[in-house]
Amino acid sequence: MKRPVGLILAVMLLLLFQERLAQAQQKVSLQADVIFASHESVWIDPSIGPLAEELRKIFGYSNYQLLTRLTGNVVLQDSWRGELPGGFILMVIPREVRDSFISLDAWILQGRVLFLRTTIRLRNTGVILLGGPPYSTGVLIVALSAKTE
Amino acid sequence: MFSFNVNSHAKKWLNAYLDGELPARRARMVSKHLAACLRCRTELEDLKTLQGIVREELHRCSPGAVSEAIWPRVKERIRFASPAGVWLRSRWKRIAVFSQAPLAGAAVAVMLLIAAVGYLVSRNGASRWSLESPAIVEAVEVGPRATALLFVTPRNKLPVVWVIAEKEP
Repeated sequence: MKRPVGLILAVMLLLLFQERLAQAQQKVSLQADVIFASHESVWIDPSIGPLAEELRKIFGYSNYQLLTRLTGNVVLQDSWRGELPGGFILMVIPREVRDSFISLDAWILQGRVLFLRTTIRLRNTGVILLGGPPYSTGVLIVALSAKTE
Repeated sequence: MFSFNVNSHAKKWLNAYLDGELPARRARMVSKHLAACLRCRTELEDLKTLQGIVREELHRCSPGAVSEAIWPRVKERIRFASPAGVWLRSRWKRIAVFSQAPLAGAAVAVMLLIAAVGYLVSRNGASRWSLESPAIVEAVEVGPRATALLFVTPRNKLPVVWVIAEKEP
């Protein structure tokens, strides 16, 4: 009996291709909470949650205010951009989803000038804090989270 | 049952202990261990010293005064804060390798605030750093005349990448 080697190979390639295609089309939900930290007053925005208290202990700012919440959905390798106060731009490109980790590149640009670039692997629904862009009388802190279905 | 012995020091709890964030029972265990363990007491003193230095410098640096480089000042102060200086400088060597390897040519310095806010553990040599949190920071690059601080928050172990940019001279 003639072995259908070609057929088996074709099926395997098709399965591999489908997996890659599914992976490439996988959507990642991104959320960036943009927090303004300063000494302008003694007030912590309750919408920030317990994170603000933690940040206060580290950095000693007395005022934390959630300025805006940016959200979006992108497929892998696509870029997602959001405008931050002070002329800063946040750009994120999810690269890969593997073992419940999402790999992504994140940039904060000041106009066309690099302020920060980082490559991270974040657990699904995890959060990373990107801080330091000067704004008004304080600084911006971006709580960036990513999740996938 | 939670306990310490000669081979199992209280090091991993010291940050939380210092911040008063341990549950009462665990805090008592740490206190008991500290009373009997010179190594952990020394570690705790190092943490206190470094926390003080780093917090003071960060506080002085913020919010608008990011024009001055924080790291040289911290490093200068650490030099005179033995044994904490020895402790941090030993880590600084590893960090320096990290900052040069994947980011050659970039004006980058990476500073660890291990003592101040958490733990950072190297993995696979110096090219990748794994935070003891659900995240791995694989690379950090900042613009010219800027310094990146990489650390985790003490309670939720969230990774933080903090950039201090100097103003143009």
